[in-house]
Amino acid sequence: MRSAGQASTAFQRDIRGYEPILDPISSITPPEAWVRVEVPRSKWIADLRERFDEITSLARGWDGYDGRPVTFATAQFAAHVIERLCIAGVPSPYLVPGSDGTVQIEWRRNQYDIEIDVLAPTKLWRFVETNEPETRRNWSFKWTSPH
Amino acid sequence: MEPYDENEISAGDVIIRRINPRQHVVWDENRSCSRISSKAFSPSSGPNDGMSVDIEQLMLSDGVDPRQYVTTPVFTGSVAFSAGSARALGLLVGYDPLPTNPYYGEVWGGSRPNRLSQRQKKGLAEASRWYVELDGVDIL
Repeated sequence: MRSAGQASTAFQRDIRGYEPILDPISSITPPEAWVRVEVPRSKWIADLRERFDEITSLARGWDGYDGRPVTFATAQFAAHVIERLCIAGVPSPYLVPGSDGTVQIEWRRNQYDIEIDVLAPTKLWRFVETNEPETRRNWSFKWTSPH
Repeated sequence: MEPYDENEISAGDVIIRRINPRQHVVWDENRSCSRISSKAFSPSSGPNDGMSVDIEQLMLSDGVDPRQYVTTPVFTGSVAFSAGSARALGLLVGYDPLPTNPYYGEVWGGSRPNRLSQRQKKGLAEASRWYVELDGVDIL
């Protein structure tokens, strides 16, 4: 999601000076309706901005097979999940792309392994494991947001 | 490809899964090491798509060097596990040769072909050893 001549990412707040190409060389007409995309603003998102850009721009076959880049819709939803989870003072998570265009949010610290697999917008799978022997438990559930 | 379990793939046959060193490796603060994310053991897209793998025996039969083959064209590390260990986790292992990769196969989930449970992903990681090692990275 880069605009010509801009060092932009899909998650930056503004794309200054962006001008849509109105001199089409194909029969596709310029869009008449525009969608304003809400942009998360937490520190974690700021930390992960370049990573989001990277995983949504992966070349086809990045995994040595036929892996696809993370879809923009899934990345956008993952960003909103991260925005909601952001806790001041806690380091940002890792983002691991899946071959199928999904993305996993991971933390492995403080004796916890936490994985949130973002399969599609509004479709999550969460896995939490603690390494403390007395409390070793797994939790997992599928979550669907109302929107 | 409809999921199935290939009889010609014996329990001891080596199944290779490529690992992208940039995308599949995370830092584990709990153990102070880099390790492979469980996400590396995930299927591709599509309702019948399993986890992409390479079948070593097919390459050996063709006189192809498997280690060279699985590191091209994109350089990746790779891990290997036996077909029997995958089946013991309730997974199916089959051929799915492609024009671009005649040694291609898939590992499918049992009840849901395109979804591996956390237990199955962890089981595959536990059953895996390095095939093309990434220096300084633990499998599990």
